[in-house]
Amino acid sequence: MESLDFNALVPLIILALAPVVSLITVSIHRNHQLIFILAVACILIFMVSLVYAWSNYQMASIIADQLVIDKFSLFYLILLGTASLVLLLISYPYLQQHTEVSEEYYLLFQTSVFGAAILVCSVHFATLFLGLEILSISLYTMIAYTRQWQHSLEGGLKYLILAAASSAFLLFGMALIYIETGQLSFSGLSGSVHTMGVLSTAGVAMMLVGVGFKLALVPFHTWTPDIYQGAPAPVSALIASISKGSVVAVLIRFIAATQSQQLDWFVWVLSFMAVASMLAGSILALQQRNLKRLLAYSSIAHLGYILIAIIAATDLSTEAVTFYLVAYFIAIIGAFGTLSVFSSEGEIEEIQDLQGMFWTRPLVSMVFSIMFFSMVGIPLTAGFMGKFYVVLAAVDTGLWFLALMLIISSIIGLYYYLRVIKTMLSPVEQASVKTANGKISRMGFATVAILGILVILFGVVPSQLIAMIRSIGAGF
Amino acid sequence: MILAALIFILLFGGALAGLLERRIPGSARWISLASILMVTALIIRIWWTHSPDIMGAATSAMYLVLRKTWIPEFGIEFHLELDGLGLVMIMLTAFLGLISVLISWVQIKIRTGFYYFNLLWTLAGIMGVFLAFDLFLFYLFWEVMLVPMYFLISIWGSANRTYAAYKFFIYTQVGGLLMLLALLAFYFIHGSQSGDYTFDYWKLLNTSLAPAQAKWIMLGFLLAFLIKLPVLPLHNWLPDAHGEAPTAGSVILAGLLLKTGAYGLIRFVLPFFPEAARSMALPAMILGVAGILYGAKLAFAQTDIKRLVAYTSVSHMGFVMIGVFAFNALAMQGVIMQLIAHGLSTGALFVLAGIFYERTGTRDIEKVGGLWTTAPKMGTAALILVLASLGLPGLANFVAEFMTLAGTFAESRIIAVIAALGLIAAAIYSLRIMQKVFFGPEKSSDIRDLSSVETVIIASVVFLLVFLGLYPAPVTQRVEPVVQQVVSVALPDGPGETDQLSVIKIKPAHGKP
Repeated sequence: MESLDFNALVPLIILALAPVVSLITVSIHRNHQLIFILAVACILIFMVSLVYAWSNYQMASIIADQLVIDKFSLFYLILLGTASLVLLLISYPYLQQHTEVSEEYYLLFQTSVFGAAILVCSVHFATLFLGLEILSISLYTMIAYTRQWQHSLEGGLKYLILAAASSAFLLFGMALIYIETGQLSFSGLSGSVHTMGVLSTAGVAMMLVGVGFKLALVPFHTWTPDIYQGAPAPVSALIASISKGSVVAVLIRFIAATQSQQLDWFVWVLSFMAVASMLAGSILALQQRNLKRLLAYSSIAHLGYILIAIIAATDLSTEAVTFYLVAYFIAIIGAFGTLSVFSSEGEIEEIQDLQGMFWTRPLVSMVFSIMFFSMVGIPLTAGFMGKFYVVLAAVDTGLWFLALMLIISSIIGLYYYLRVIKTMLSPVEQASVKTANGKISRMGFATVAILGILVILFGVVPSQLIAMIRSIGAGF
Repeated sequence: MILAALIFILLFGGALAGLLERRIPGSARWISLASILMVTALIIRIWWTHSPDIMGAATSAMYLVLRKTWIPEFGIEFHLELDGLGLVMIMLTAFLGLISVLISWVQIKIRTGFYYFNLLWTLAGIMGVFLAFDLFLFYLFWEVMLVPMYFLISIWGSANRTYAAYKFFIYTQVGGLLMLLALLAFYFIHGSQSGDYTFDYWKLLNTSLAPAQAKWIMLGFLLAFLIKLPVLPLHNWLPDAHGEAPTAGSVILAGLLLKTGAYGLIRFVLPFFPEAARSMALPAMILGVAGILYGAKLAFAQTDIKRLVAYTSVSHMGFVMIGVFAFNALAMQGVIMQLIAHGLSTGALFVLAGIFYERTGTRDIEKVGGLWTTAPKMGTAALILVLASLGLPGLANFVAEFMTLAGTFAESRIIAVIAALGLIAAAIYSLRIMQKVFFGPEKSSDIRDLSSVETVIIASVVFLLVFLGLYPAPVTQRVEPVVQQVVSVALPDGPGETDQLSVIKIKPAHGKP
């Protein structure tokens, strides 16, 4: 390995060392605050190394055909890093309130972020699988972390079984492709789109099933609501953001490298999944009374929107997906984050719990509404720019049907998002005790408030972010 | 910069009102009043400095232009322009905004800070719609005015407010999103033709579209505007929203929000897609006429005074529809006049309806009667406004409807004749209000007559209606260049109808096309 490659790997190495540091610290001295500060420090060092790498970027370094550190990876790593920093800040007050033993959470958190980071840089089936497994295995435990709640344990077990099954699909798909092409790296597969035989076709299809599970695309979405509901709110946010975002990144890389968007059946299957996810996500969300389930269904719909941009497969696609992901990350983490800042007995889960919150908790409600408006795609929020970008990509390629479906789904979505906001606006006399009483973690609230400001900022002056995203390239 | 100030004063005023009300109770309304007055003063200044008498032949030029790069990656600019049409519309916005603030002064007792925040932000959105000359910006403002309006209806509305607010939001959002889709298609077609990807109004105006493309893209825009207007099959949201909204909300909805739809037709649909629009003219006019009669019929059947006034809006907006699609200068002038006159008269009628509800505790016109004896000022006000609404000569609405009908007559006699029946229907439903509420046996106990502020509000509206009814030139002169431009684009072979303008002496002597 050359020293240049080593330099490029520094951020990943920092991330890999973080769990080790935590592990040693926990075994020496068990202290929640200490380990939290250490975890934050690790992420900050990681971020600093990324920013350094970004600003001194010269060329992409491909390490042993396994990992690539280019601008695309760096951007997604920065996104992951920022998201995990925010998630840490939200998790701390939540864990203080809801768990007895909190230290191991940070350990698992760090390994899951490490897994996601590998996924983002992966250009080879081996690293893809490795990253995915590191991520998933950490998640099994994190979902069940609040073990005093039955839902949480149930969710952990469900995720274990389904994620394992989907990994099996993925692995088998890779094996089938390898039998026919003898290749495991994305670049090695690049020429073989038009010469694909039965085995590789089946292989790609099986890999799609695996990816579909991870992204919770219809028809592989059924696990999502139960797990979002069962998992602690910060973990649900992690599944919705980091876990899905990293898989989207690797999917873009895979498609861009192999040019599989030239396969008609591939595009048809993706389009079907996109439409089904958007519609099913929006329609099923209508009936939900539980906020976390509602957010689960809405995240299914959002992944459908992202898929549209991927299907479009033009220069705009990567930009649109990335911008949308940024907006979606902020909004979904912000929404789950808001739910986790309350120090109530049990979680704020039901929509009923938000009754009259606008009058009892005006600031928190405002932030929460901003997140929801962003998810609806109301102008002046990041979500609007994201949706605009996706529709732009779709119209550019002439995907009229998909664009129309997006609009229909958004309109259905409007109804259930508004329902939540409407509940918050109900008269103060009916205000829910759960949200009105008790304290709100200052640090947690400050974090989500900053997210709220970011939503507005990226919605009003998106130019800088767009320029940054435009520079990452990796076009189709 | 004045143009940006018009919008940002309202935005900042709203934010300030929302924040300060918690610290200093009662401050919100004063801040709102101050910001609206500032905006009004600015507009009057513009009106003064850009008077056509001074500018002479240069009337057709834009009064003010503001361009700032905003999102250069997509060719989006913060691009505002003001011409005669825009000036007239923002004047109306400021005036009705002022009325809304004043009428809310004592009516709104809960959550006043947030209320004025929403009120001012709605007005800012509307102001932006009338000023934006970048289509992305236009879309943005188009959507921005919805959310605060949704809050206005769903928090301060009456009993059935939740349902009404949903309906309003979803209807308009459907239109908005379809417009976005059409807008993007337009953007790409223009971009691929010229290599210049831009949302600039003037550049997009030069796009040449294949007939099929033009038709579909136009439909996207048209739907958004027709939902807002609203036109017959798409009007369903209107009675609920108008009926349930608080008084100021109804005033803004009827007086301004509906006008944005008409404005969109004139500013965008006709100039962008002249051929496609002409091919749609007959169905559009038929829908307009159907709206006139259907709205009038339903208005007659209502017992809820606010819903009644709401349906009269459906009826009156039918005139807008036929006038726009008549494609001649006279009808177009009539439409713009109608926007102003209807905005003023219906706005004031909603003010009265709000006062009526506040005093009697009911909106049912069957439950009251003989109010004239106890509230003569209210009765007089209602009488004048109702007469305006039914199109009594001498009031602005008459000028508007007459011009529209005369212009339409030149294009399609049948349509004009049937539409004219709407005037009779208007007389029936309008006089019914008077008869039920103010005449007949006295059913309710004493009610308080108009207060001095309310009297001033109504009197100023009445003054404007009479003034414009007798001397419509201030409006018609202002919008003349825009009308000529729109009509000449829509009819490339030369506007023959302009002669008629001089026949009825509305066209100013110096306003040469």
